[in-house]
Amino acid sequence: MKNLKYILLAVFSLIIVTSCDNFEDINTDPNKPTTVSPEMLATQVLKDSYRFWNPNPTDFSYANLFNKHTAILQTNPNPYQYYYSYYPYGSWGYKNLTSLKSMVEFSAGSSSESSYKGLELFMKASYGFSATLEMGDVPYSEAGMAEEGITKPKYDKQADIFVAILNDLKDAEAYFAAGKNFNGDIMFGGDATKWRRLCNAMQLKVLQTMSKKITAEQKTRFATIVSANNLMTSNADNFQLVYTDNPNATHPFWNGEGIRITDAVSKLVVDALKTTNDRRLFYFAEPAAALITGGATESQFAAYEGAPTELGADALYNNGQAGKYSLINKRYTLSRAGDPMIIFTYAEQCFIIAEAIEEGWVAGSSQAYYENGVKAMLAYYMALPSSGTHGMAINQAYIDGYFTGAAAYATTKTDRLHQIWTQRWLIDFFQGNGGNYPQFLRTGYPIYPLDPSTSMNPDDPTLYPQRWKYPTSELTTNAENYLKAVDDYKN
Amino acid sequence: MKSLLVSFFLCFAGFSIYAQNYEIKGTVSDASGSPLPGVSVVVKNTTKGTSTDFDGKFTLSDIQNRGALVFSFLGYITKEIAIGNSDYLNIILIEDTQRLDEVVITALGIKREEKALGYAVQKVSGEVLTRVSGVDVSSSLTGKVAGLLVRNPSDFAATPILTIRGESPLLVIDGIAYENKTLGDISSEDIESMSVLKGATASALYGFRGASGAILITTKNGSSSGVGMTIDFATNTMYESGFLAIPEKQSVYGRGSNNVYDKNSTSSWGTVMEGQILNQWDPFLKEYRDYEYLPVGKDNFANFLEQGYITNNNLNIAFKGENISLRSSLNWTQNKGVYPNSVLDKFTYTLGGEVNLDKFKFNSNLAYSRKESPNEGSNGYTSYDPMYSLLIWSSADYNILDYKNNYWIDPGVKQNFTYQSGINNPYFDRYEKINETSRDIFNADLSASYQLTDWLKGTVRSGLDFYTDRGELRLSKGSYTQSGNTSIPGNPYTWNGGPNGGYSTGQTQGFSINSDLLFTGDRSFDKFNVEYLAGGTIYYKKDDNINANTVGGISIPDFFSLDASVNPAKVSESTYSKQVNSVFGRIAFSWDKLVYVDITGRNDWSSTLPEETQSYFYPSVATSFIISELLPESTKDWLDLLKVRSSWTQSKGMAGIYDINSSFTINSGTWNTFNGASSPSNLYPTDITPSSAETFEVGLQGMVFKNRLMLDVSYYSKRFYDGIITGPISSASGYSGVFTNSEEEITRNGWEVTLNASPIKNKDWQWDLGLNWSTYKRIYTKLDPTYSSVKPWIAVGERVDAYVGREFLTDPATGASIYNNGRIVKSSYDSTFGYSDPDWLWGVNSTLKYKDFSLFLSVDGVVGGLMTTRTESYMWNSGGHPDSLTPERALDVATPGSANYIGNGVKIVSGTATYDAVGNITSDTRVFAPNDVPTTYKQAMQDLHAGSAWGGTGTRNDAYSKTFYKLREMSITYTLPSKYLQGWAAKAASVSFVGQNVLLWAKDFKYSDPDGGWEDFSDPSVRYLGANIKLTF
Repeated sequence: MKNLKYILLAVFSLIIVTSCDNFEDINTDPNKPTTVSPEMLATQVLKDSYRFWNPNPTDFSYANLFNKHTAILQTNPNPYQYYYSYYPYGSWGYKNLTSLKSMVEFSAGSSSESSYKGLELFMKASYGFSATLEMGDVPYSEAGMAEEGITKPKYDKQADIFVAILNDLKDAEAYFAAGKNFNGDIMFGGDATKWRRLCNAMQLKVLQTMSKKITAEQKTRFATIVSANNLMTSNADNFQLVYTDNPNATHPFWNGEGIRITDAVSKLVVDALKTTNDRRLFYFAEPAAALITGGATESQFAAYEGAPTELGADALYNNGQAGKYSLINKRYTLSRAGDPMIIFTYAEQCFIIAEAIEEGWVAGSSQAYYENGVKAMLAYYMALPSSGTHGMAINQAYIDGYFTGAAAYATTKTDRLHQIWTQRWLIDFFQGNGGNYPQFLRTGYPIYPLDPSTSMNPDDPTLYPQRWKYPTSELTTNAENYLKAVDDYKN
Repeated sequence: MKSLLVSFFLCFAGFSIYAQNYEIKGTVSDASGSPLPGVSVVVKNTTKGTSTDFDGKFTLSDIQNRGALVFSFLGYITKEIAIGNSDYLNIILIEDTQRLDEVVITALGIKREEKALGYAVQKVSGEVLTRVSGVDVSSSLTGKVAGLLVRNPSDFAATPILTIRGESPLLVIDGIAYENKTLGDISSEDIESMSVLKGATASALYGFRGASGAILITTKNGSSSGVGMTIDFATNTMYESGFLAIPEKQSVYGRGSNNVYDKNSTSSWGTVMEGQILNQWDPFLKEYRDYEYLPVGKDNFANFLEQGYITNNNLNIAFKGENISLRSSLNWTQNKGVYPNSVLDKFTYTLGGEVNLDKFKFNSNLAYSRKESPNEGSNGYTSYDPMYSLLIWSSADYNILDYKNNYWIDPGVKQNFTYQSGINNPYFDRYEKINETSRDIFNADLSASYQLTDWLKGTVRSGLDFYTDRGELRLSKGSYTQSGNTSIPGNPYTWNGGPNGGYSTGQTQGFSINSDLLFTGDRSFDKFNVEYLAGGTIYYKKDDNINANTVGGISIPDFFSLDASVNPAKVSESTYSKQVNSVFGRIAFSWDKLVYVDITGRNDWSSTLPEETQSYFYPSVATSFIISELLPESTKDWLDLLKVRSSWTQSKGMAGIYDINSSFTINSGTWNTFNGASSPSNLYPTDITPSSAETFEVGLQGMVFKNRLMLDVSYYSKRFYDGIITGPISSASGYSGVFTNSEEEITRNGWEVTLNASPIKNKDWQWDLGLNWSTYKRIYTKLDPTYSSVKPWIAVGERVDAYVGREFLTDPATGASIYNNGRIVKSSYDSTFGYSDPDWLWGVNSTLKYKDFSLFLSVDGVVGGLMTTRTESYMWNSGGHPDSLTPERALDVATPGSANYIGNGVKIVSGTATYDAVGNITSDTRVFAPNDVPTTYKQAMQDLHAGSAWGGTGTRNDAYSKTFYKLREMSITYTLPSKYLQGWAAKAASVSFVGQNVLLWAKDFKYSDPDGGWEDFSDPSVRYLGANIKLTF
């Protein structure tokens, strides 16, 4: 018994000795690495940036309301449809700049380094472009610099941001021009040439977006890029995310029958397509049940009727119940793969140049660009399965004969611009990308219907909203710069 | 002071320098004849004294005159004996059963007189917890301790949540601070007593783990029973006997969303159910056909429920020999919930014993418990609670009983229900959406102490707990919903499955080990006493999780396996571990039972902090002053004790596991076969220091009339500073936060009052009454200039618990609500409606005994504080609320498409208001006129009550007061007089009529029980009544 105390002491000492000095091991998470490969970072950034934010049918259907492509036929007015939002704040993608920076660091010395540098700059420019279109003055020059000690980035003027974006795109283009193909790219399969073309096309888009304030020098830049001709050449160059049957890459509207039955194609879309005998209607919509009952057949344009997006929610619901509207085509719910999500297309590039030619920024045949753009979009649909298109699938003969009647390139500049803008707006139908709204604010066409008695714009229901609010967290995290930006906007 | 120190040193050294005269020897024992070691023996009116050894023997030499000796020992009545002529004395000390010198267990198992304590400790006897035995002993603790809030959700299998002074306490069982073991893993019959250490000072020796207070449990190990063998049997069975709160639903209007019948609509905004012929689903033909439309389902909810019960059964055997005691106990508890297919079983087995030899004491306890439910179901809106389909998203136009045992069209593939999408048949949800759970936990401790010298005892104590949590979610094919936010171990939001079914499984295993080495001792020197302690602790814990789910559904109906995953199954794992090494010390002085001072210090080394800051020290000091000792002798007639106490402590905490590491997140198969990775979203500087808090506490305790009345009042203030936070930074910087120490300070101030009284106490009658009352508020005492949120309600002096939401806009001049196009307008800015913490808590416990009968009642309540009613807000949204049968609604239904509700308020005729960044009006040119624009009743109600299941707090109308009180427990007990037991094997027997969750009164909550502290489709609150039988052999 007397030895017991020594035994106990010995045991305890042993525990201490064996369990000290490995604190660092204990506090190291075996499931979290401190280095990763650059392609994994690239993949995640691209997915987080371009995959629909919350891939479910309901949120996806709501994302098509703001640009008046569709209308929701429910009794509760959906704020997106009536010029508001459940969450009326903008956002920026600058969080991804950290991953992009690591991506470049981890690729140092590899053959892909130049391309990853190009990707980093392109992405930064894209985030800045959408942020400034959403909110106006936003951080750009000091964005993504927390590690350098800048945790409160200043808000740059929109004009300065455009200049900086254009320079970054130019630099990105140079990196891709010098770069090799790279891994981890879910958009272009790592093809540096396609990325280079995108960087050029994107510069054209940025320049045109500032058309009301553009300088002569910038117009020249536009012309230079067009004539250098390192641009997208066909749908094969489309910047897009291709969905598949894999559950992690499923089209967001797959299995969305529950929401589809209250989701109609807008009158604005249906009428535009009817005017030009555009068969995309049969890809977009189901015939209106009441019109079918009335004797029309599904392959007739007359069987389709769009829902007026500005009509009150109760009336839309009642008309919807009565089968008066063309609902979204069922085919969108049936395939996991669905239509590829297009972010920036060859067609859009064509329409951008067509408009620039009309405005005299650059020489060329605006008709050729207009027609190439339309043909490319028709070809995009032609490439999709024809099932569910009501016997009116698009084929090459149809495309070749498209430009007659109202679809033929118009005679006046105003009409031609309207044609270009309408076609450009149609690219984004049911893509959930919301990208056309700033272009609408710039061109005013096609005219988005607005009824002050149903508009939910809290500031003034007679006006189109011009911008989203800044993220509310900025008041805490970046108050000085935020308040200055708010003041500048008000004054 | 100098002489004091010299004396102290001399005591410590353990020898004496006085010359020799007489020598007196003797033995001190207790009433049962067991020797009492450590009894203080002092020659009266001198400074001379000693204490007894391990055999209760003492020797006093050098005595100059044969006066009297004073024997004193904690917990025993002090005895004075004249020496007379004898040289050898046999002394028997009687245990002091008076509360005056009540002994409480304090941190690390140190027994102290209650009056010596400089901080608040409240004791609960095991007997109080076994009068009514429910599923979880925590429920029986509700209202029994001032400052202890027990929230009891009415949801099936939900565990009560305990907070002391607003924080989660540490659980210490038989001296071992367990990490994983919870109060719910212990059977109430195994609890000998419980000490609740309320503040950080009380549990200072537990360091960071005790910074939020501690609940100390002493389990029965046989040592407290008499010599021989005892067998106890207790059974407590209670049946559901009605409901304290249960939702209701209107049964006038059927399904639809626009005042007309719509067979696909899950809302109840349809037309009147009056027997008209409509195309409806036929549950038996399993197809649509035309038949009479009637409110056949007006009792659907009640019809769906089944008889619930709780049975709690315990058998234990205790043995006590001369030097050894043993106890083993077996407990089985079963709870049948009121929803179909809901059963919960709990088993516990314990084995404990003690060996008590000369200088050596050894005890050990083992316990195993298992909790399992073949289907725990799911709670809450986003988890597709049964109320989701039964109460909210369906109307009273179908009879749920038609679907009982009739929920398939094609078994395993296609379900049979009145709806063909969106919501499941409630029976399908109960039998084909299975949430199977189990928890095994094993713990063991071992404690050995050895009296090294008469002034020093060494103790080694080690305990570990090991647990496994398992969970499986099985969703059959044919489901119209996913599994929802139902959790499995390692994945709190599964959201798996769908029409193709789904299967998720998870398992978490973990253990914690806590080993102490302690050296303790004490010396008395006349009126001066010193206790000292030095020790060290090693604490280590680790948890491992692995969880997986099928992707894309299951390939074979009713076959739930990861191998049946349509696409490759998704698997993830996690591991968390930490270690803290500590050394600590304590020294306590007392003088003449008048002044007590207790000082502790502790140094920790934590694995979760950077090397530079992982070692840190924190002290505490507590004093107690017995005023009544100084008062004139005449007051002793009525005043038993009057004491003031005060204490101060600093406590420090560490960063979370891995929190200081900057690492990447990898996403396997993020897009097709591509793998993804993301950089960290926070910056991780290396200068993190421990978080800190300082607690200051004062208290007053008084006992009068031979302890018939006791009042204890505490006030405390705890200041939290240097908090470790992820400070938000602008997301435009590329990061969303910085891991850092905040300069923000929050102070919690609170009061606690305990009043115990025995107004009646005579031969036949005894009435004991206990009252507990407590309150606290948390306020900002300093803000961080960088990281504190910029909000109007966040400022120094403001409360931390603001209840934040969006107000309806009003005309600033008149306060009238503003309507736009007939609809009430909500502000674009957050503001606060009030506070979420309760104003105060109270509990009253009453025991009235008459001869062999006793009546026990326990009532407790919460007053004030706001919380969101999710159930009612969705009842309003879906059109099912019983109060929605208004004339406006009838008019809307009479003419579908018409709008008949004109909100009481104003509309804007012209002008605008502008606001600053936080929503204050900066200019206002608005001109108002009375609102005259109608809207539909449905639209108006949906504007007034917002759904909050996906975030937010709903509207002001959905913010309900938490105020309620409850008759928590009652029992009427008849104890059989021993004369009736003669000839029986039983030594004692009692039978009781018992009830738990008996009566409820709530200020705002009408259809659900606010007791859980939040309300998200709370299950009907069940009243349990039954019987309790206890037998002792």
